[in-house]
Amino acid sequence: MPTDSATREEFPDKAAARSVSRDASSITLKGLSKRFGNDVVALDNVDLTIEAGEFFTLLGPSGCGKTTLLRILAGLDSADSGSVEIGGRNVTDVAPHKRSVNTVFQSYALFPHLNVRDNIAFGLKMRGIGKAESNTRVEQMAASLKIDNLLARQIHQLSGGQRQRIALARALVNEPDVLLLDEPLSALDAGLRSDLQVELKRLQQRLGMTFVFVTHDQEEAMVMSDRIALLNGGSIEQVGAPPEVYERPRSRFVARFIGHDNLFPVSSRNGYTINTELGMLTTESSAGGTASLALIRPEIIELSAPGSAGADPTLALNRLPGRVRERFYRGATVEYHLDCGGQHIVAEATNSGERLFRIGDQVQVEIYPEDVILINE
Amino acid sequence: MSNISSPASRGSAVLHLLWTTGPSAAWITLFLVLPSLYLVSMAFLTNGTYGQPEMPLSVDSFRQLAGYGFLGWSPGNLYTLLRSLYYTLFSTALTVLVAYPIAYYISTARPSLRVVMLLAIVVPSWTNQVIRAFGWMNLLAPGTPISTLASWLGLASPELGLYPSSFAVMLGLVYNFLPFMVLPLYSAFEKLDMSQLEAARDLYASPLRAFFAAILPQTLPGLLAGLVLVMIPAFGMYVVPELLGGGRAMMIGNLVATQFADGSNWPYGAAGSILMLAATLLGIWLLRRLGRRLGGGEEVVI
Repeated sequence: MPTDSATREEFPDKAAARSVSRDASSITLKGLSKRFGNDVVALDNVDLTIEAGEFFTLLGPSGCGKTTLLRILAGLDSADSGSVEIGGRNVTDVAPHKRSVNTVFQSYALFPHLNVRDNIAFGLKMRGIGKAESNTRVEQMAASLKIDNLLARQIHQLSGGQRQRIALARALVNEPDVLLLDEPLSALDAGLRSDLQVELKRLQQRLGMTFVFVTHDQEEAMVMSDRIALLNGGSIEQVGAPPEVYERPRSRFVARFIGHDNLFPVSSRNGYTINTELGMLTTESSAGGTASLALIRPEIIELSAPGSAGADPTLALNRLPGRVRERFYRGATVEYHLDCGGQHIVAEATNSGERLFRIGDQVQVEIYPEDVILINE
Repeated sequence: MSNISSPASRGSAVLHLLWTTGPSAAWITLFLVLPSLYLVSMAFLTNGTYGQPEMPLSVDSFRQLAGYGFLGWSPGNLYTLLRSLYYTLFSTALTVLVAYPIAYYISTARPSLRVVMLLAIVVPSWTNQVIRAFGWMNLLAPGTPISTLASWLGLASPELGLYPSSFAVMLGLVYNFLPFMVLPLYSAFEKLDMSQLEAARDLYASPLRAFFAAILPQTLPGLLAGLVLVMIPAFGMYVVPELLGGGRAMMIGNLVATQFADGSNWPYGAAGSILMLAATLLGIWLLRRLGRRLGGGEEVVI
């Protein structure tokens, strides 16, 4: 990222100052509920704590309540019940213009009748910060986001990526305790999007500011976040760091949403052995009571030619016979869709240069006991 | 249009142009250009002994309009012009203040209700202006509930009531022109990008400042259209000041009407209408300038 070295020099003081007053930017939500009309439940008794300086993502499908939650944090919507604390201060009934929180809107919501400079300076002007200081801060912010050459432009002259940066600058220049981002990258094309993901993450680390990020894209959430909260139907399904959510999903919904396909209902469990639609599988442990679902991640499945020794013949592996039904070549990896005794299972193999299996090939599917993830619902 | 150069097709293109624009050009010539020319030429004639316009050409009517009569200069016409301006500006301002919340409220209502509300705004204006003015006369006359309430609050004397008065004229003007302000504002509100308002609120703007930062610029085209639709007819208004003002709150429209009817001084009336036309064009020009400045470089279309 070319912006990196420039930005580093701009921000160290602020980052230091922020780390002192970090508690000002933690968020505590208690029993938050919100309905639209009589039957649409946007939020259902949500409890959540977001640590100061955290990159926290609200992830879920559309209609799960993530945007409503963000809007309640901004003060643009009010909850029916429950409380919002930011930095230990109860702001449940505080008007949006009296909160030290700024938002980057999905549509950017830039003011089309103002030029770039006046857009960025808007918040400072509303807070009565003098022209000279305002100019300095706007120019510093613009320089750090590499948009200083755009300051005199009109909004309609800008590209989507440029607008995104200006919306970001307009919020950040106020140095809020918390920055709220409502799917800010969803309108951008893929290349720009992944660039900005990395840039946003670096920016957040440098500023030490609490970012609350809303997205429906699980990859984006995993790349950027310190922690993720998965929302479904107005409730939080799981909160955790990306590896935790990805490797130990707590429910079928989380597993599905995070991108897992290999989910098999468990019909019975006997010690280390579970009975699934895929057949009998050996698991790592016998603890944890009844499990309802077994998850096998595509990338940990080993494939070998039938009759070969496989990964390690001495190990207590789960070995299943399968047949390649479809193959998708992705470059770094190859995705096989297999038929395992009538069940459909997806395996993702690293493309290590060895011979690829072809459609119709018989293969041996090997799964380590510790890789059979059990989900209790 | 590559074959436009061939004589035959050029001929057909000219024919097509005549056929499509001809009727409207004829209409405008017949009903706007010619009467206007007639009116302008009328202003330069002399008023005859029996009230008939006659030769020679003169600028007597304009002198008369400027306030010079048999007895030297009098400020009567100047007062009428200033009163017209005052009524126009003040009633337009009131119309804007009343129309903004109404237009916003309608735009946020359920779509099925919006139609009903818009109809409720528009339908009264289907009734003849004179009849509605009579309605207000009956509502505001001395002894009516509204007048009694006003005199009880000390706002009007019990003998005189609220009609006739300049208050009644103002009320009549606002009432008359409200639909012409609500409709363009409503169509602007319908397209309103609410996220700009939310962004302003998020960026520390109080509700009032957020209105000026996010709503006014977005509804400006509607506002300017409404201003034109309200100010021009309000400036030339005849019925409302005549009826609700009791003949005392004369506006420039009444001055012109009087010269063509009772006064029988057509050149003077024609000069008055030229003044109205000039004032209106000046007003539109000012509004366009204002729109261009507020529109941030983008031309606001009227």
